[in-house]
Amino acid sequence: MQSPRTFASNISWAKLRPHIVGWAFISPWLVSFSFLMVYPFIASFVLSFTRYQLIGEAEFIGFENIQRMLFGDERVADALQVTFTYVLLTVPAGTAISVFVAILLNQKVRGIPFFRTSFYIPSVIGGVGLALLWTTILSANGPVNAALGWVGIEGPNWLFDTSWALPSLALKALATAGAAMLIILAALQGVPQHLYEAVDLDGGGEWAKFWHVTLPQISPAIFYNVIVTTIGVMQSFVEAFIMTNGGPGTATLFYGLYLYRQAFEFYRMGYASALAWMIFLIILALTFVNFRIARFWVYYEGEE
Amino acid sequence: MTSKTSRRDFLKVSGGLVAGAAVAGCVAPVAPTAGDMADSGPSSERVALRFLNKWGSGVRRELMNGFLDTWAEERPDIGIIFEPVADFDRRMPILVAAGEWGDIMLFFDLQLSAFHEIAADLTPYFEASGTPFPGQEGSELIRIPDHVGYEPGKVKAVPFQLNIVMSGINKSLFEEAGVPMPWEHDHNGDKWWDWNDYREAACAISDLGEDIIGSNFSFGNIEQDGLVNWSVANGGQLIDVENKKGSWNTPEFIEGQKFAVDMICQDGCMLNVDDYQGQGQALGIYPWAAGVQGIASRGDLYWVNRSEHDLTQVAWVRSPNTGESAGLGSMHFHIVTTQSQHPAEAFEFMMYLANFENQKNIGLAGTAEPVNAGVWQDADYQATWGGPEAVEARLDALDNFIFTPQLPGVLEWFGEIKILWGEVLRCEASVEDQVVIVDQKTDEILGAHA
Repeated sequence: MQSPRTFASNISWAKLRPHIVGWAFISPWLVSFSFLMVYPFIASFVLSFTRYQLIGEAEFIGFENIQRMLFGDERVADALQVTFTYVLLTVPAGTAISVFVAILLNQKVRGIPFFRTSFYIPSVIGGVGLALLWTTILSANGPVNAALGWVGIEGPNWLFDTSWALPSLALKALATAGAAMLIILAALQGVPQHLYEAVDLDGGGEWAKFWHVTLPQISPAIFYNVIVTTIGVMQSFVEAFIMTNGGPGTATLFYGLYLYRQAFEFYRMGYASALAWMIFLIILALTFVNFRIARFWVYYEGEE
Repeated sequence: MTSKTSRRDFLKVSGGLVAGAAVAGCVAPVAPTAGDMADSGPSSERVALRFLNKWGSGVRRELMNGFLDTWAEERPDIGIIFEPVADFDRRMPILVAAGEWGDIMLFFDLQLSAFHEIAADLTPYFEASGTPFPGQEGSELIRIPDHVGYEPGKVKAVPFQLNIVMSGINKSLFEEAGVPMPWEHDHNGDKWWDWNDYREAACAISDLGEDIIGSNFSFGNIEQDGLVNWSVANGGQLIDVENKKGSWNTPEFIEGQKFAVDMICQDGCMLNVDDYQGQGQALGIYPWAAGVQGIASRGDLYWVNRSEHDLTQVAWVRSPNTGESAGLGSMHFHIVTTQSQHPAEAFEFMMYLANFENQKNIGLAGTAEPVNAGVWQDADYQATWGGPEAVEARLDALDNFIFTPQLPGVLEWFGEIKILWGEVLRCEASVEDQVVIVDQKTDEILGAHA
């Protein structure tokens, strides 16, 4: 066994310095991550077992919040239904659109940088600004209905009709698929040309190239987009908050909006924390399922 | 000549600078301190009060600047650090949660019902200054709601601004439809409209054309604008405050709601809730509506001023059964927080903001209604209302406005009831069935917050 003196002499400054410098460089991130992520994460877990209304002490109430969330609050089911429907409306269609547009933008035609920029620009605009813009576009008296009117169609009351409100928000989401498109475009440009040449040699056509080469090659990028988009859409908030305030009725009551209301409008922080943990677990489960399914359709080079 | 700096030296220097800046940032105050205030004033014993209020832009900011300038001249010993809070409804609770209470904070009535624990009891200061409680005999302030701002023997808030809801009419459309003005109706000595007159006018005006709406006051938001006024005027209660229970399943309440809902679902003389929200504002529908309602103000942001049509305000139509009108009002209050080290000075400043002169300026600017009873009788203020009928109507509204019940959970209750009652306003559920569901939900929510 080493004596303390021997141990201390073995740990020289020269040996320690790289570690200290390394920790010093990482410390800004580490500190902010600890205080802004880990602490709230743990705090929200603890709060989910309490009744806490912003002022005063949090009162421990055991599983009361969870019980209410699962069995006593029908709005949770409403909000989950709206959110899942929104995911189904936006993720598959958004993925298909981004793949389609990326393929178009991968063509060698004049002016392609302009088109690429045009498709990507909506993704750059901030969420609130874009939501306000779409509120105007889809208003009863807005340009969409005006255009429909020119061809003799009476447009619906997009954002304030219980049947149309959620599809309207989905439409807005689909029109801003530029970020996903960019990732797929990058993947498309990484597809080796010799694979296409091999298809040519085998006598395959364009469809064969797409189905047997392009799609497998870009499947990791598609998978990445599906994962990221699903997580993002499950947490949707801004669209409903700005454009419809969850209405009409509960037609656009996203889970995120309901959670926000419980926390910052009704001041039920404990219950809101429980809601936050439930959506976290749901997203975790969905992501797990997505990874399991990915084995059957995502192709990674180097794998068997 | 250039000197080379090694990467190590550069990192040392920049690391030192960053660390120094971080330390300085932690030490430096983020807001002016009492010391800062003292530097700008003549007295070294000056008190500084943090004052959190939402009047931070436009006309309201100009008014507030005027109030603060005058205060600074009159009371240089009590400095005010004004901190306008943008997005007030959402940020105020966050500030409360963060412990950033300041000395004086503004809340609207329902917020105050949730946060009244941070409000200091002002009773000793009212008593010490010989000022009667708001609304009581001899007080220059109008009444404030029970249970939070005022409890028997105790006051925890000083009112600052009032918003009351009134009806309005488009006189041009009344003339075009040949409908007598509300004040011209022959009611056997009763000069006021009742529901039946209102419906008759709205339906006659609806018949003028497809683009003309008889009545648009079918807001889904029942908080202060909605249809509940019909029922309350009829003797119904928004919530049974005493027993903390639902109170919609009563003949009085149902009758009021049915009358209003029938105008939507049977007569077609009133917009339904979704059409109102979807088209009302987009179409600038107010000018085309015969009977409209909104917050009774005359500022540029409000509908009477915005319209190019000949609009005037009238009091809420009365129940033919009770002869009463009712309009839900909302009030904003200043409180002295329990954190304040200078509650007496804070109380003094709050009373200053509610005095006749300042409140008259607020009233004349049309950005809210005054909480000073004397201003309501002031000829200059009344002259802004647009005619003798409007004067009478406004004074009637002041007498009859009601506060929303100040109970814990009422904010959540409003959110939930808005959803539940939306089904009735979309003609998807009957009034009789839905009041049962509303009452169950009311009991559940109030019970959870008890």
